[in-house]
Amino acid sequence: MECKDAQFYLRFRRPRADDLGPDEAVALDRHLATCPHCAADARLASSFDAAVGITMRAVPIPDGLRDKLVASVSAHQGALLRRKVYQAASVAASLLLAVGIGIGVFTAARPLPDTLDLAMKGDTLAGNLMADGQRVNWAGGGNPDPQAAQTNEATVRAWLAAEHLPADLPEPFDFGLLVSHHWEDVQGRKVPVVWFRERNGPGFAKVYIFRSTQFNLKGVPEAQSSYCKAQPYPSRAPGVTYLVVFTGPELAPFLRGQGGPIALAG
Amino acid sequence: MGSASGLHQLVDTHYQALYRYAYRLSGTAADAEDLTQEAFGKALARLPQLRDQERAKAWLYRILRNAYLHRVRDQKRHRVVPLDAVGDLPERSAEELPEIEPARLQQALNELDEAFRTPIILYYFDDFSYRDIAEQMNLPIGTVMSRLARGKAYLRSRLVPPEPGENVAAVGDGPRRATDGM
Repeated sequence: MECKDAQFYLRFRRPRADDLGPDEAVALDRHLATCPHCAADARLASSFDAAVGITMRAVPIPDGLRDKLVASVSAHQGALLRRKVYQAASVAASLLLAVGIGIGVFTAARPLPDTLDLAMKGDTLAGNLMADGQRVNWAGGGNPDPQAAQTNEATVRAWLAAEHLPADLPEPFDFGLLVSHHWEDVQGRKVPVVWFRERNGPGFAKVYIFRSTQFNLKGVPEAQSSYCKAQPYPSRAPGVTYLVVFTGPELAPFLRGQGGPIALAG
Repeated sequence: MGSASGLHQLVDTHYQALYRYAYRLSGTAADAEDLTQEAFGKALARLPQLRDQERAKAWLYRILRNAYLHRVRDQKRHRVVPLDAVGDLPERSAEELPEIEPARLQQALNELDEAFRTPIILYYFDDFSYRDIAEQMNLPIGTVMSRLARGKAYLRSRLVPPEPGENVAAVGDGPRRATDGM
């Protein structure tokens, strides 16, 4: 090692901790052992560093500083905890408000079932059925088969249960008069419908089953068109309302015990 | 570490070193106490950032230095000396070195710009390598070495009486506004 390198490496020599790697330290020590000039510099730097280091570190610690700091940190911690609690509370309140607003917006966005439109569609259907002579085409015509009624009712009840809807309809319809159970598009929403025919005529009754998740069911109005009446029935099950659209002045021609099968199994 | 006992342990382990560092940076006991308190307060708020307990000391030092820099940023109260003209250490024998008075050391430190004072303090606290100091100050290691060399030369000129005929004019004119020329 040359003096120039030794002077460079001396910068890394520390009073208590050396930044030199082992190889450099050995090489430097070897050079210092043979170079009086660099050795004197090393001693000088070392003694100066040692003297300054001792004085630098000799700072008296004030009495009670530790307790003051602990108290201060504890006070800070309490303040931080309070701030976190307030923040959490305000976040929760904001969320609650947002959910409330969301529910309000959602509720406001749900339409009331257009009962008059459904009654008028019933008119169209009734007109078509009469024009087609459907009266004679209704399966069976006249009084229905009690065995078929039982099977039909079981099928419809299973379908409604699968859709998480009440199995019972709002009136004791005669399932021997069942035409179909299906989905219809009402105001852009799929609605389950159970369709019955009239026992001795071309009329029909359709039971629309509305859910509160799709429609605003508060104050669903009755409606009357040329041939049909739309009659709402609130369900005992929450969130469901029935709307029965039927021809004629009353539902009797579609119900049990009105000349058809009596008291089919429920 | 988030628990009360963990925080107390953090204080117990580091408060003395932190106070000494604060004292050497600020030059007064009152400021040092305030800075130490402020550093622990800020550390508490940022405690989740400390993942490696081995780095707690360096982390606390950095928080304290930032707190100090924040305090003095607009005060411009430090009148410091320029070190551009400070040369290498003059030759002298080790045996002649006098004992260093704490007040004179602090006075000399106060005269240095923080950019020189911080590496000098960390260097003599011994626990920090050049690399650690460079990380603390977010500087290249070469810059740290250069500042240390010049800072030490300045300390030497202030703490060790000149030998007859030695030229100390470059640093003997009293405190002035500092530039490190970098």
